[in-house]
Amino acid sequence: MTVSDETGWEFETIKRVYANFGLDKNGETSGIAWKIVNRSPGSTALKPEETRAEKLSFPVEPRDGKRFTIQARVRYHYTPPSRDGFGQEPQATKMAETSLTLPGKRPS
Amino acid sequence: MTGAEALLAGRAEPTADFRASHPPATQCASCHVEHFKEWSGSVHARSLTSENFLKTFPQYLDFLGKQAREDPQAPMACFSCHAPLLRNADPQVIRQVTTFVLAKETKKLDGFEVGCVSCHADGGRVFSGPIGDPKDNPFHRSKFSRSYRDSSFCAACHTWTAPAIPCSDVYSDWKKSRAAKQGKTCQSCHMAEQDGTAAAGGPPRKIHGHTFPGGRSAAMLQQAVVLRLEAAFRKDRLEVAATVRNLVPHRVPDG
Repeated sequence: MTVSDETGWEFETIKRVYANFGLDKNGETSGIAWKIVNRSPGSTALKPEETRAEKLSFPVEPRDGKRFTIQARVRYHYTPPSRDGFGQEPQATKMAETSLTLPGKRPS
Repeated sequence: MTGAEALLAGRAEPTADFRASHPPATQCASCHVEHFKEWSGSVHARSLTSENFLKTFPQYLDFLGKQAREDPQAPMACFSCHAPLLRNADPQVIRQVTTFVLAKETKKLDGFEVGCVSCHADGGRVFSGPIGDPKDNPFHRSKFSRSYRDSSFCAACHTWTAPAIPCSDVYSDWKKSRAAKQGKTCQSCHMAEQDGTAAAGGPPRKIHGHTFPGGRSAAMLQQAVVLRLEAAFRKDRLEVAATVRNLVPHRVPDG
């Protein structure tokens, strides 16, 4: 998720990872498929029909601008990211966007 | 062609014989134009040649140890899904395909990926599918099989049962889902029905998409996951409530 000001400058970016992890034979969390022997409670993948909510907070100063745009994008890929079968890098898909204006006058 | 004939013809590669009885998808293309075109752009067509597979396959063999590159059983943990035709192949063929993957000789892997034959041929020249009244043709017999309409058809590769490698487990999730109870299958979303012809010169009918879209498709991702943002200013802070909802009957991501 990125927050940008009216000039397009992205002054804040927050990342969340939704991924499948497992437990290896020693009970350690692993993302390497062939080491996994059991499911991990630490997996962050979205479960079927799960809703996950989160509140995020960013400090805003008048100099950051007046109008803010918040955009959420999802990049779906293997770990580590690799090109797909057609040589394409995994693309970020825009999922949501909202804008709002900081009330009051902007200081000069 | 027998193995001996292949040797005489200078085609000593064990895969040559195998190819003769398992035609690559390109041979199906002249009649099944649309299906071939769609499949060519799918991840199934790149099951052996994607960057990720070519990179991780040797890492897996290295993890198993020094002998793994020579042991025809070792790569089958990957090939049983990435090259399903090899499930019943001679060890020599498996060894050679292993060599091709390790050497990244992707052209030589043509025909071993998840293709027409691996899903539709049930031995000999009989090809099965979900069409209730299939037409025979000069090239092969055609047969209806209900299994193509069931999610269980995809389960062989898209379920995780230890000690297999957990690459995909969507079927296990789906099986416990409301979608399953409502009769919505894997094919409902990933092989959507459309109007067309199954083969050149065939009758117009309902056919199924063969692009197999998943999370790498932006359109599919936007249908599967809904993300909502609500923003407000609170004093000197911008507060954003983000809600992400998975609408599908399996985990996201998964394969």
